[in-house]
Amino acid sequence: MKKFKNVILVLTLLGTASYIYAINYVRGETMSVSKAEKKWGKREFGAEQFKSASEANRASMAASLIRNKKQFIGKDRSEIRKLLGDYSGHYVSGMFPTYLIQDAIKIGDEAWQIVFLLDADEKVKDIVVHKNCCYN
Amino acid sequence: MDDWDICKVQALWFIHCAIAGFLMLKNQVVCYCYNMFNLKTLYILQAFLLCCGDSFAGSCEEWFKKSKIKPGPVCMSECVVIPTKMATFSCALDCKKFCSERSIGEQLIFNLTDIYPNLTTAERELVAIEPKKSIIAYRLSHRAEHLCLTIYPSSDTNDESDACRHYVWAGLMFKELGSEFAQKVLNAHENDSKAPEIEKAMDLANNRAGILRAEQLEKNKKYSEDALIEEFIKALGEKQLIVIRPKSLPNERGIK
Repeated sequence: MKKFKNVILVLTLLGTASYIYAINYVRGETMSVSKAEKKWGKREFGAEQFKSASEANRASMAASLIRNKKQFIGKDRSEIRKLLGDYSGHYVSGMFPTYLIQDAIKIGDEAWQIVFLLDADEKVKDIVVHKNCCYN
Repeated sequence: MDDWDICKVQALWFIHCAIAGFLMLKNQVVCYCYNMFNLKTLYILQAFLLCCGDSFAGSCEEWFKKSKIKPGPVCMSECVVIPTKMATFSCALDCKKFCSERSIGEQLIFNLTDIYPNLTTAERELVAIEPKKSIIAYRLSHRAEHLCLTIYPSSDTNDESDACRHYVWAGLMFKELGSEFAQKVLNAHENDSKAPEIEKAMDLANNRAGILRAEQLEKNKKYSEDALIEEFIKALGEKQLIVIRPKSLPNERGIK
């Protein structure tokens, strides 16, 4: 019985790990909030400031925005546009609200963006810092 | 009336039959008459249930399966007009249930990828009708982005890289899927009620330019991905494409 339980546990862990790996593989490279905070700072997020901010200033608000993502979860993408302004950057298609926080000057430079991931009803389900250019 | 209601009616009928039979055996006439009354009602009901079939319980599922309609965006509109018979007359009420069902594999794909939320309603309809071609179209959109990232360092919105993606995607789809289907996909992609009109106009114009140029290249037997990119740079330089928020031409950015 104990053996059976261990097998189930291992299978569950393996399944979860594979699932997370598959999501990350398909989605491309993302950055954790703590890394984003280290890289760009931790300026407090404000929708009005974000709307008119430069990429560098938006970047400094990225970590705070993601830490406070609850306020955006469940919102329609058109509400995001109203709140944060027209999109920049690009993820999969024009449907996802994206905001560049670090653009590339030449090929090979890194570009990063904030992506509002949507569910099938076009409501925000998560927010990630995503490497512009790379998904499968 | 759902499966559970049918079960309840049938169970009630059997109980009544049993009681009636028991009373008849006991020659309790008054009670028997009373039960005969109920029995008649229930007989009619049971006859109805039997002739309507297999009806409510499993047959609605069969009715839906036979129609070969698959769950998806057009499912509801098609399901409610599937012809019904006496036995299936109320099945259309279950269309919502049948149409919302997704296989485990499909659900997993939707959870794993961000493909589905990325589709407009019109695109979801197209995917339901032409799933294989739609997957190719989706794959080509990635190819277009990768090709454009050979001349632009990042993918942005409303700038030249955006124009490039649409131009090249349209061209690639023309080559692989034909003009008609490419046009369908491109129009469905822009059929997004929440996108600003000016952005849709930009995308549609650049799509059209991409298809026309790919058509010309194909006609002159000069079509290749490199040729398509070169034609894009040329068209952009000649201001034949629409860019809402211009940044710079590829060669001005020191690229290529």
